[in-house]
Amino acid sequence: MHAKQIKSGLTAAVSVLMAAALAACGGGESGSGGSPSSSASPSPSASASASAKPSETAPAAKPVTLSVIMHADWAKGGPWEQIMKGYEEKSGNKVDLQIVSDNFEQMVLTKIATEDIPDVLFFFSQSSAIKKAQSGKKPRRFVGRILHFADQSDHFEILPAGRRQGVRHSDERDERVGRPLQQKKYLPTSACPCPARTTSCSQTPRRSRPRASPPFYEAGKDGWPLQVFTFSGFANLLAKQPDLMDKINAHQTTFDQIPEFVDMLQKQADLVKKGYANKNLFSGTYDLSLDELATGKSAMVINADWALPTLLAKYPDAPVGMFPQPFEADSYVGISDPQAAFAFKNSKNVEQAKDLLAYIAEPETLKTYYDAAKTMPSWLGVEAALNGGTADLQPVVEAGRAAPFFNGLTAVSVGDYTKELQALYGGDKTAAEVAKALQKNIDTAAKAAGLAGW
Amino acid sequence: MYPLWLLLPVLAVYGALYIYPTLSGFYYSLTDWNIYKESIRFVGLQQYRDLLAAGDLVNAVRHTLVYAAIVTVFQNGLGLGLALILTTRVPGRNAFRTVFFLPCVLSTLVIGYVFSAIYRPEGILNELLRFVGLGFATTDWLGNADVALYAISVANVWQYAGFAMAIYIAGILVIPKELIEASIIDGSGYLKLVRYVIFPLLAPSFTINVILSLIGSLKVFEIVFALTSGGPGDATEVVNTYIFDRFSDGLYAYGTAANVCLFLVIAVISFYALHLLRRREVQL
Amino acid sequence: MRMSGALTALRLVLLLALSLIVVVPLLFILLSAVKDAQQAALMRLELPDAWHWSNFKVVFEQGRMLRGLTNSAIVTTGSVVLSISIGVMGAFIAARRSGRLIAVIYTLFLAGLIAPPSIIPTVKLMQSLHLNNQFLGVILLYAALQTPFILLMMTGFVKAIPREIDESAFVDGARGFGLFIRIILPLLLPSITTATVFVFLGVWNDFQWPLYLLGSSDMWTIPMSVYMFKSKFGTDWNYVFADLLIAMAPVLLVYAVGQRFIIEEMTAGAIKG
Repeated sequence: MHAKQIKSGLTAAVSVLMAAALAACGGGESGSGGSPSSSASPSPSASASASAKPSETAPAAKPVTLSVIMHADWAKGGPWEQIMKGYEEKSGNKVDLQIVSDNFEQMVLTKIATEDIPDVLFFFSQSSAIKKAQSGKKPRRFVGRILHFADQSDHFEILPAGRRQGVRHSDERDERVGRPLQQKKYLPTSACPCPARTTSCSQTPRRSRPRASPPFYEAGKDGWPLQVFTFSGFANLLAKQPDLMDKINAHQTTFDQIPEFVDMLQKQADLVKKGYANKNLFSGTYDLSLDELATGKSAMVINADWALPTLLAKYPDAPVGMFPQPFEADSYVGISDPQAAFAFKNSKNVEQAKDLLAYIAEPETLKTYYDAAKTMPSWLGVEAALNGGTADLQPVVEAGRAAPFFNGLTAVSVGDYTKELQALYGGDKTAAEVAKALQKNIDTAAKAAGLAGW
Repeated sequence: MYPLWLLLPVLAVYGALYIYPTLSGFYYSLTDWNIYKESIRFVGLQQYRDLLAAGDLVNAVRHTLVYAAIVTVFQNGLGLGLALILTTRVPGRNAFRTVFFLPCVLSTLVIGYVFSAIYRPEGILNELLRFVGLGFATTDWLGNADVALYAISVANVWQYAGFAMAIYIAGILVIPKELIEASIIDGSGYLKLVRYVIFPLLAPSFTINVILSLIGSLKVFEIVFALTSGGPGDATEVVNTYIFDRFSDGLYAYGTAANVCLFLVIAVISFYALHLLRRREVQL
Repeated sequence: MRMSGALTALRLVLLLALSLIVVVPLLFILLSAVKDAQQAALMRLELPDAWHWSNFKVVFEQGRMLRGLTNSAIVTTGSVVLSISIGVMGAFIAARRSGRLIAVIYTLFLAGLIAPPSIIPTVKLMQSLHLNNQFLGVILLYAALQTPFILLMMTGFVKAIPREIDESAFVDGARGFGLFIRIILPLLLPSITTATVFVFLGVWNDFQWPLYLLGSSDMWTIPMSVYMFKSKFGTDWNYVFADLLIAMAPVLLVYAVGQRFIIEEMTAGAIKG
């Protein structure tokens, strides 16, 4: 269901975020227009200097308590309590860190709709999610004006999202490149050495298939991971057809009219049909997939690198690596939109909120964050010791072979894609029908939004 | 003797904090409110027309009705049975009452976690089945589209049979002792006591229990969401998960319209049931 | 109620079998709560390799559960006292009077069991009444949300009390509020206890409204403590279950006490009227 999609999809973003949170922040304040290299490099220092002023003035002012809302997934992945404590000591203000998991998105949207806003919000940066958060003028009588995020132009104060602001990523990759994540994870057992990547999707499973244990484990119940296969595949497609997403968003083409997309879905269904995945995959959960992978019961999991810290926390010695999901000779890595932190223009404590964001963007804080989160930093000048799996992917991403998940690029939400994929695995829908259903979700939302072209 | 002003406090609190916001919420089903819109317009019954035209609710409605029937019957059957046994002299009956009531203390969150573990392919239920030689009956309870809905309803009955039991026990306990004693002195057996004394006087409890479980199961959401989220595919999609999806899509007006429809349908069903049950109360 | 020994034994066996069905999942929670993270993740019904009783301590501190328990106690007690007192009083009138007005009111309350509360209008309303960000607002809201159940249930129980009792009390000079307090209320105590348990339960376990209405985590109630350990993915199940166990303990206590009260009332014969 969409809830799930949103929850898991966004959570994914979340987790990524968590990983990516800071990771994504390379763009700094220089806006979406600048070239990645020029915009990225100055940002840590720029932020630092920007923060210096408010930090000086803050103690003089009356101390306030800043409310900060964050998803539990992010909170778990980052040393946030430590960072917030650091800010409290420095500024004299207090931080009320509110961690929410199950009702996160509803809570946030409700708070925004009722103007009962926190001072700082950690939220998804997918364009459709932001659109939701900003959508204004809901019920006339009960909900007031649109809320604007603190920054004038682009809604972001800091920790800009990848695709809007341009995240650093070395070369001339377009500004969309947010942050790495997601590909197959596999377990290098004695039987299966650690390849950087394989050439075709079906080869690896066959090679490493021990009897009775599945080559790859699908978390069909949680459902979110089912999407990764096509997210990743679509990233490869986008590399070849850069204008594809624009066409979709202008309604000049539709998902069911993209044969490569339908093929991807077909391939995914075939993998399961041929028995490469776990039996009973509809009771497979994200949690279990990590346990299966870590204990060697399954050879691979299709997932993102934000799962690694979770896995390693439970199984510190698990020999886990990652490689890009093989679609092409040099496969692209799919990346999710990163988490972003927002301050609200009409928050009572907007200056202090900005101050907190600036503090987070200081090089030392970033270092604290990345040392704990072990994710590829997207701020230039910040280095992090990565977990094994993430380190495997770093060269790929550094080489520019990365493109975003398509659900972060569509103009409106893709709806409950997970459910359609479950139907595909269950044999209730064909690949073409799934593509159609996906498009129908988009059509419905686009019509409701009154987008041009629908 | 019965002054109306005693009703005022409850009416005031309920009317102000529930009725008023709920009704104003209903108003949005007549607008084009959605998350993407810059402004809200009154569109009359458009959302309702779209809802009927879409027709994708049929599946969810069917699942909901099946679910409600199972839950209502078994929850009450089990609850009543337990209440009858546990109001006779059974050793340790207080302990038993506590045990059977325990599950409804749990939040739906807990039920979701625990039953996911029980229903897993290599979970507790299947291990038990294998242990007693019913290995052929094992399945992936929540992943098998044919049984998932029933598996969820079992979890629901597990949780709330004790709830029904408690209401029935309370109902039995308010039956004046003289009546029961008279019946015992009368020399009639236990079954007769149940049939002619307890059942008729239990009618109000029965009404409450049936109505509560009917309404609760027709608007079921949390437990389905916790166990399957409506999946696999749409095998366990119920009306409220469908509505939740629409809200998550940001289609507020449309979701609200579906909500109003669900409200009306449940209201019609429950008021009719209530009417029947009340009439029965009088007859008994 | 003469029962042969065999029958009693049969009932006992049946009850034991059914209790097992109830107890095993609960045992699973308990055992999971004292495992380490890895073993808890396996979700098996087995004894822990090592008993990590310290999980409870970890959870209690990290989840700031003392604060949560205090807040929950305030909110729940307030809601229960308010909703039960106004609800039972209303039920008394609703059960004893008849007529169109009562029918309409009754229907209105029944509808409250059916229609889901609208979140955004409710929050807006609380804001305009300046009841948000304080316990009083949440208490009033819970009271409003619980009254349909109380009214529906208690009306039935009031009706079960013979009218003759009212009439003889009336002759003795009791009427209105006095009649309710002195005559009816004592008779209703067992069923009020039951209703109290249910209301307590519903309020105690809710984790939705505090999120929307209480803007400071210092005011959050106990169910929200699980957020510290539960995320969508990568959950520490041992901590989650330990947290849940601590959170449900007070409800169990309330039920245990409430039930004994019901039994005592029964034996004291107060129910005879």
